[in-house]
Amino acid sequence: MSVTKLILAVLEGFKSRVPSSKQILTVYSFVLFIAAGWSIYSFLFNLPSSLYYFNTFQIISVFSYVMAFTLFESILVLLALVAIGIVLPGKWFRDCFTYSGPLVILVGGVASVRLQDSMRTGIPPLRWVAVGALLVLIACVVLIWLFHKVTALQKIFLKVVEQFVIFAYIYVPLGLLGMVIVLVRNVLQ
Amino acid sequence: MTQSDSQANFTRRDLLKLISLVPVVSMLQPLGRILGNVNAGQAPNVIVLVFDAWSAHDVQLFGYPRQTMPNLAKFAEDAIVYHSHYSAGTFTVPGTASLLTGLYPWSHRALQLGGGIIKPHINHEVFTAVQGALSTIGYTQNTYADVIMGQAERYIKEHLPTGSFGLENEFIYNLPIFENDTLISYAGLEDNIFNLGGKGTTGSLFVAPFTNYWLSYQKLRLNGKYAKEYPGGLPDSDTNGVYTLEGIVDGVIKTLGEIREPTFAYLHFLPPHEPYCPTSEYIKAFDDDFHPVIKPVHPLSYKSVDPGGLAKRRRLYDQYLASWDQAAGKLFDFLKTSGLRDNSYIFITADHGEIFERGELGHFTPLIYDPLIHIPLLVSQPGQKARQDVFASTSNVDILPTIARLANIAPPGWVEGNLLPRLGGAENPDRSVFVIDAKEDSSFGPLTRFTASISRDGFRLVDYQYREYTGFELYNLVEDPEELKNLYGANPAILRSLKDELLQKLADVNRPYQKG
Repeated sequence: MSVTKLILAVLEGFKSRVPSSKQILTVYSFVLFIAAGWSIYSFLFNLPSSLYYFNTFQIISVFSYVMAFTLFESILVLLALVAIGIVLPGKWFRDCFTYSGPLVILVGGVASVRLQDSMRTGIPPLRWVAVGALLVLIACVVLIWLFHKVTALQKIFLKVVEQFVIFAYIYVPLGLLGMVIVLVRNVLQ
Repeated sequence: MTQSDSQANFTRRDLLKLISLVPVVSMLQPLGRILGNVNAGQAPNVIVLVFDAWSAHDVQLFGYPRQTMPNLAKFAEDAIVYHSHYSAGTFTVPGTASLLTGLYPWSHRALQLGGGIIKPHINHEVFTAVQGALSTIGYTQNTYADVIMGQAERYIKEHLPTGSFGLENEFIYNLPIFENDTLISYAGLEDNIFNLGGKGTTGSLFVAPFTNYWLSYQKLRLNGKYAKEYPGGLPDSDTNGVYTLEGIVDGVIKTLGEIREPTFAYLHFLPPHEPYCPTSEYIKAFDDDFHPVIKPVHPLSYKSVDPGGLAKRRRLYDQYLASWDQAAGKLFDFLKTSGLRDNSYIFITADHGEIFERGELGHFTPLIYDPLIHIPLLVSQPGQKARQDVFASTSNVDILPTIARLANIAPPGWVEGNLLPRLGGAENPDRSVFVIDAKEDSSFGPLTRFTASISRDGFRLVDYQYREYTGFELYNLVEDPEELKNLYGANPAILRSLKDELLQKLADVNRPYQKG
């Protein structure tokens, strides 16, 4: 077998391990909804104090940074999920990507909030974080297995997750617009 | 001897002798640099060293019983010492903005934590004022000061990132790509996304919590590594990580050593700002009989700390101040040995003070009392060989016009300050000095919830305007320097003129913001 053929074979194998574009769009929409929802919540939390010292254009600019970062963050998270799909056996994660991906995001999101909460009073020890990471892993495995077995649960969840696609059409343009504004403010000034 | 004879006499041995001189020449280069500093053109350098949250009340040079800063006292032997110098603001944002613009907070409107100078004054910073006369360097460890300084980015030739000389340089808004937009990139990325210095949640659900945890963990590791030198933990600048006092001094010495042309350098150090982290040498210092006067808790005190707690924190602050003085002593020595003191005006001052009384500690408070606003100011003139003392009231809005004059530039029209006495100005006993704290007000509206003070003729009148407490306080600073006896009710003769002037000033500055 020539080197070219070998590369093509590897690429073909790799491609077959990547979730379909429809699966990716569904999961990405969910990731974006969660990431952007949290960022916007945080932005709105800070907004009242910002009104004291920023004018409208400056506030729009701050929001642009937030949305541009959220776009970047959501892509990063999606890539991580796709990477998990590639590494793990197809049956475990890739084939059920539309609900396994969002389940990981939900568990990860809850863990993130818990971590942030614990950091209000100090830095939790590494051991605590390691135990937390293990619990996250166990929760993901149990939930994916449960959704795998209980078809009704799976169907309801998928029905809900598919509704989030609409948010991709709102947040992606907002993120791109944010990126343009950030670039203009920093490069063209 | 003809030319050909001399060429014939230049032997291989002579060539080897010449080559042997090469290392000597390279060794002379540092000397050349020093001489270059001494003779760097006609215009002198202007170097402003700012120590953050540094109250004159804790420095023996200004009457404090504890010997907290012996190296500063040594520096003062050849400098002008201003004994009644005041910041126009009570915390970093308004204090630094006033220092950099020569404007009172009611004009520059950098009133709140995270706020900046408003658009009409955005280019009214000292960096703009010295353009054409001096090259410019800007460095601060304080993120809020950096954001304000960054508003004049295009006029700062060398703007060093806040974490430049620390053990970590971790923050994203410091990236060069954001240097033209520090105010907004800081608000967007730090306040809303990473919130590294804050205790609340981050705006990023999946990236920031984990990066923040990792960085905090690194901080713990570094604290362990330096536990012998800093038993109470390393000095920490929150968003820009931990640092050593020696490290930042060495970094600044290196920066100053590279000056090649007449330069204005604004170097704003975070110490002795909290967290107070004395070195092992001073961690047990000041176990003495000094007992600060106990003062009643003010109704507007945020913290209501008991006197014992205040005294304990003050001792820690003094220990940190002594540690900082030891490190800064190296910088003072460098300024002398490098020749910079011979061709530079060197200002040493603070952005605001620190308070340990009336239940309040730190500086984030609506109160206006002397420890919070009375800050050191020392100015060393090129080649000055004796100490001079100025007792007349001065304000940090006077720094910019004075620097402009020292750079042979007419003081800009926008400034509200005067020339400092002995540096072009005269001592004026009738001078009114104002301080404003309006962190609860909008930058775009009239001042309605604020504390404002006027000091003149040895008296200070303070006006508190809040929903929970409204009223005036008047103190005789000469007879009652601890500000214990409120004379407002006694209605002394000076009250009327102070009150009229303050209220008139407030009415004037509010007028452009009044509707209709």
